[in-house]
Amino acid sequence: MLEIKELNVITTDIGKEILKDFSLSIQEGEIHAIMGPNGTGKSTLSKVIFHHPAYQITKGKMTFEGVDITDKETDEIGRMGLFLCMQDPLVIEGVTTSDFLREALYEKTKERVDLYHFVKEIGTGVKKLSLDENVIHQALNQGLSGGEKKKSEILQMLLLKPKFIILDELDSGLDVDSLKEVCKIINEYLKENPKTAVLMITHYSRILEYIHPLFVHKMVDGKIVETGDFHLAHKIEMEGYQVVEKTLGEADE
Amino acid sequence: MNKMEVKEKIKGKVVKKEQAQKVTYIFQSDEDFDILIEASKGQEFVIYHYGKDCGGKIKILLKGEDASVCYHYNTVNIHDNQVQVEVLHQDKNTISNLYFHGYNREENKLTFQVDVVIPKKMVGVKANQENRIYNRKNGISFILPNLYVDEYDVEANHASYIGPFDNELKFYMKTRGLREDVIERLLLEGLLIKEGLTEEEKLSFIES
Repeated sequence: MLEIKELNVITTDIGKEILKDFSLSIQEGEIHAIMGPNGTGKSTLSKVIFHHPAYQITKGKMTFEGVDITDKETDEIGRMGLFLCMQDPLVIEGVTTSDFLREALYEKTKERVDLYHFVKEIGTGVKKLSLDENVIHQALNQGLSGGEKKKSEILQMLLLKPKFIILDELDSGLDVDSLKEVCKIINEYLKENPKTAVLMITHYSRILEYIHPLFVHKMVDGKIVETGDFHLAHKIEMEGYQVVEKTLGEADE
Repeated sequence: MNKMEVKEKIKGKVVKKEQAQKVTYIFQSDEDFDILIEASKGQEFVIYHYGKDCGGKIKILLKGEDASVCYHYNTVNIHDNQVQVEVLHQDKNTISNLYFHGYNREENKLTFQVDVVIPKKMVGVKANQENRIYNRKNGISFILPNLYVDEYDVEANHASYIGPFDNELKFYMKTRGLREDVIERLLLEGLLIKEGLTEEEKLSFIES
C-alpha cells in the first residue's frame, strides 16, 4: 500500500540530512509502529510523506497504492486517502470545524455533502469522543486543550474516512482514560474499515497496548535499525534507545 | 446620548441594532469615509465595518464613564489606501477594543495608523488593539499602533502582524486535501468576515 524506498531527505534551509536510505513497506490492513528517541526523524517522516516544504527529497521513491507520490503536492496526497493526525494540531482562526470538514469532504468527493447526514455524522463523532457539542461551530481547535485537539483530529479522521492513517505521538497530551477512549474509537474504525493501514509514531510502548501493531520498527539517526513484533517495543521500553545508539556508534568506528 | 456620524460615502445599507445601552452598526464602504463616534456614559458601540479598496478617518470619542467601543474593520485592498484611527479616552473606566484586519491583494500600499490617547487621571481605562495585514503579493503594508498613555492605572495592549498566511497552517489544511485556492478563501473568510453579512454579501466581499 505505502512503499518507501531508500529515501534520503534534507532540510530545505540548511541542507541537514534527516532521513538516510530510509525504507518501509506497509500493506493494506497492517498496523506498524515506529519508535525512536527525540530528534531521530520520526515526526519528520510523517511530514515528508505529505511533502512538507521544509524538507527536500534528494533520493528515493514513495508510492501509495502503486501511484508515485514522491513529487505529488500535499493536498493531492490528502485527497488520495492518507491522513496525518498531528502531534500538535494547529488552530485555524475564523474557520469553523464544520465548514473546514465540509470543504475537505467536498474536495475529496467533489460532491456537496448532504447537510442532514453531515450534521448527524459529525454529531455522532462528537458524542463518541466526548467533545463539547459546540466544538462543531467553533473555530477549528480554538480554545481546546491538548487532549481535546487530539480528539478533534480523530473527529476529522472519522469524517474523512482515510485509507492510511499516520498517528504522530497520539498519546502526547492525552490522559490515560482519554487515550483508552480514543484508541477504542480508532480500533472500531479499523474494524469497520479492515483495509485501512496505520503508521504509529511514538516514544513509548503504552499506546501499543491499546492499538496492537503487527510490526514495530526501531528508528535511530534517520533510519530503521531493527524490526520486530510487539515484543520489540517491550525490549526498547526495558533497554532504552541508548543500547542501539551505542552499537551504531561502535559500528561506525 | 450616543452618536455615530458618517460624514461621507458609506455605500449600501447601514444596519443598526439597539439593545438597551448597546448599539451595533454593520455597514460597508467602497469609497473613502469619515466616521465620528461619540459614546457617552455607560454606552457601548459595536461596529462591523467592511471596506472594499478604500481608506479614511475614524474618530472615536469615549466621553462618559464606562463608555466602550468595539470596532471591527475588515478590508480588501487593491490600490494605495490608508485608514487613520484616533481614539480619545475622555473619561474613567472607558474601553476601546480595536480589530483592524486587511488583505492586501495587489502590490500596493495599505496603512493602518491607530492612535489611542489616554490622558492623565483617566484611571481604569482599557485600550486594546489587534491589527493584521496579509499580503497576497509583494504589497507594502504598514501598521502604526500608537498608544499615548499618560496615566499609570490603565491596561493597554497591542498586537500587529504583517505578512503572508502561515505556511504551517496551510500545510495542515492541505493534509486534509484542501487546495490552495480553497484554503485562501477559508482563511480570508476567517480573517475578514465577522458578522452581519448575508451569504451573497460575503461572497461579493471576498471575491473583491
